[in-house]
Amino acid sequence: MSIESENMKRSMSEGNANNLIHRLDPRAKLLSLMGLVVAVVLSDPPSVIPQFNPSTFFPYLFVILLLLSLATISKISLITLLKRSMVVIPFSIVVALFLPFFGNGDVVVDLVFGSLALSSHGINTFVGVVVKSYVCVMCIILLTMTTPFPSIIKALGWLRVPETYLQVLSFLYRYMFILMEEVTNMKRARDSRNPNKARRIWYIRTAGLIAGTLFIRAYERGERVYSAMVSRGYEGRMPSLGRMRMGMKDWIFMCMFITVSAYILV
Amino acid sequence: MRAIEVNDVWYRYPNQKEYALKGINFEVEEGEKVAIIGANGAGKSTLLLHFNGILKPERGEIKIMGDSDVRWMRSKVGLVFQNPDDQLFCPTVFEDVAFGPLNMGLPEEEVVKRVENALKAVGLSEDGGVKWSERAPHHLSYGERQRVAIATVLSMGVDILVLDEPTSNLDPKMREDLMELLLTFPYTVVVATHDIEFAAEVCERIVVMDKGEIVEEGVAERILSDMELLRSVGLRAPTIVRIFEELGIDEKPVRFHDGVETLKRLKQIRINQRGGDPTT
Ligand SMILES: Nc1ncnc2c1ncn2[C@@H]1O[C@H](COP(=O)(O)OP(=O)(O)OP(=O)(O)O)[C@@H](O)[C@H]1O
Ligand SMILES: [Mg+2]
Repeated sequence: MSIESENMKRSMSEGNANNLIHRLDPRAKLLSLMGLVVAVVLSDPPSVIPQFNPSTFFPYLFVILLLLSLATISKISLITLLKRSMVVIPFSIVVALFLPFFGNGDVVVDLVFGSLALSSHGINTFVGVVVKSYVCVMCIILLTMTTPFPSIIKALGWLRVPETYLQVLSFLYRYMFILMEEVTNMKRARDSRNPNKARRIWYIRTAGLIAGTLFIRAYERGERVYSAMVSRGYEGRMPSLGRMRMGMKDWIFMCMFITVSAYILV
Repeated sequence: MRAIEVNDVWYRYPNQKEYALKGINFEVEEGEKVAIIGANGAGKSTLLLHFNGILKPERGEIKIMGDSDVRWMRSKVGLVFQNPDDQLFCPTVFEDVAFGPLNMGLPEEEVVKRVENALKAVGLSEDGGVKWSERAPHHLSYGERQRVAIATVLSMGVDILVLDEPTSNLDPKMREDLMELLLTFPYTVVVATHDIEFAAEVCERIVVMDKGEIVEEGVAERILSDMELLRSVGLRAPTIVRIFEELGIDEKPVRFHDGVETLKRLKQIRINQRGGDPTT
């Protein structure tokens, strides 16, 4: 097993932590955090231009502080949470890159004689998208760090997410590491049989081979797993035991989040 | 009643010319422990898949406890695949072991009880403070995964346990543990393997397969001491048999401890012949 995947495995919550947030009903956590995400997305973007108005950032700061305090209660490293949420920033910047050129606010900078201009509304939206995506991803990461993946799946099932989709998700969770291990092994096998320093083109070509082989292996493993399922009575539905219970704590947690979401929206 | 009855079974994989099974006939009595041995590609795995109705014979018939209905077969035969990663597909051990019983439509408390018992039966009981049932299969060691894989079929309340190459990835300690586990099992056990020593220790009867056919079957003592036969199908006799052969001793025990006992006895006889003084 490679070190990266070993680390990744460890970082995914296993449900052995025993504190308040971990013990909440997964449905309460899922609904609360999803609600918060929706509120953040729908809220008005902050105002940077023409006047920088710091108070429009307060709701987001407030949410970040809330998430950080929840993380503290759950004994999750704050640095990890903040850093991991960063992964989304390059993506949101790329996606939002052209927003400043649209929008009908006042023209701030005229680049090509009126045909290409940065508008204030556009710039505000751009900042909004980047900030909001950061906050939303932080919500999701907090959820996954405090909830074992199987519980999330169960909660999604309770929310009537299609069964097939959930089965695919849980198989992904189960087999991702095995597939990653297979890739690592194949890469090692390739490199160990290549004593000379290789040219880039060779790497690209063999990467293609590895991807193809991985596909075939995954396909054949799928067949074997299916046999194993069928031999234990699988007939298209994943059976599950309903063992979730909403308690007082879960309701309080949800109420807290509803209040926060309302505050952000207003 | 016979646990397994195979009558003249022929099987060919789709789009293949060669038959993988060519007229297989054999029987397993209830409570018996049988090994199917054969070199790579002999058709062992193919045969095992028939016991569970996953593959259907092109010709011939298979009966499990007197019936060939697929549902019936699956409720009686627990098939443990060669690679536990193929067998364990759920996010947690609990769900994996509960998968079979839940599919059988059992009530919840019964399922929970069965999961507990099955895990206990393979030596993964919860008393040690380790919450086995909550762990993810991919966080377990290979040997542990193998045990969970066995538990997943035991929880279905099967009568016949069928294992494909159970020792292929185990270290010596794990292999011995598995041997002991199988020896104490009150089930009918069929093992496909080319681990001859394992077959010798665990099984009383041996079936030898080669190129899709059964070439010989009989009690372990006879089959596994037949060096000619084993060599002709690409296998080797257990080390202890080969040692006795090299020493030119007619007796050929196939199990390690029997071999040791025999050697001790022979030594004792020699000492006695020399007048009871081992130092001379
Ligand atoms: N899915 C498949 N499609 C086509 N041919 C197959 C398939 N699986 C197995 N075979 C062929 O069937 C024959 C018997 O294979 P089988 O896997 O049953 O052998 P085995 O005795 O289990 O071997 P091993 O000890 O390597 O596991 C082999 O010749 C093999 O090439
Ligand atoms: Mg095989």
